[in-house]
Amino acid sequence: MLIGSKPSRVRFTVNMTPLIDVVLLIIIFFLYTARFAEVSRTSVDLPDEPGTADATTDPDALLIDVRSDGVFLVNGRDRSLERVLEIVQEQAERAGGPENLRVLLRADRGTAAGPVNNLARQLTRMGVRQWSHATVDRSGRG
Amino acid sequence: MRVRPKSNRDDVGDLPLTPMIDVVFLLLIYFMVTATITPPESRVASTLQGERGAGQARDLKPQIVTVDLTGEAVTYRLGSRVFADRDSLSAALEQLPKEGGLFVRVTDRAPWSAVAGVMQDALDAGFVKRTYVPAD
Repeated sequence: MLIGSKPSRVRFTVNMTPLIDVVLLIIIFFLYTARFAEVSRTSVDLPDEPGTADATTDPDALLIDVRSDGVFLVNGRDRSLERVLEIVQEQAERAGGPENLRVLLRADRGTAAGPVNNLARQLTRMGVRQWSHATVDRSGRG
Repeated sequence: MRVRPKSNRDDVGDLPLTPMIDVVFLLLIYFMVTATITPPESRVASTLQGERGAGQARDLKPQIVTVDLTGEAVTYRLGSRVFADRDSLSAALEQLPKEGGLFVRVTDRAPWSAVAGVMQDALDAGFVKRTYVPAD
């Protein structure tokens, strides 16, 4: 018995193109709106020395950057020396005392040592003893 | 009436891979263009000078290298000797006894690259204890 027309074979095709277009737009949106530099290290022209250890192996150290013009940066933001010292005080309390705090100084190789000396004097008064400075081995000597 | 078993194979459409590959390729190009290749950072550890007159034993005479800028030239003073280049300074540091450590005294006008160089030379010479001292 033939009722109506013969049903044609259903072919269900998933069209991926609009979906991928939307995903691409979303990815572009997030790539442009993301704030990658918030916690990343500031670009500083470090002294060209082999050093001893990987500077990234001490995640608990307080990073203080010094630009070539002598301006201090903590977490990528310009800070006055007074504000830097406040941050040092906060971090020292978290570390259980200034003697336990480790400071990693990332000073530009073109800067004069004056700002670094000012910082060192204040850190000494606060009781901070452990500090190291970052270098970069561009020639691969290390 | 002929009943044919329904095949699932007909319901599944072909997934077009070309747009997905296009997107992946674009993302790859994006990350390659925006990526910056930076060499890994190292560090040189030192200590800051403590308060003076803290009752420390002074059996050893402190060995002090003073880094300064005279005119346009960096000078390194070790005791009564003045060095104009790092090679001669590092040769002199090799001859010093190491147990007393080395104090690196830095003037405000000294370039930081020279200071880092002296710290590196002290490290290479075998000084385990290196102390950073800001010059008054």
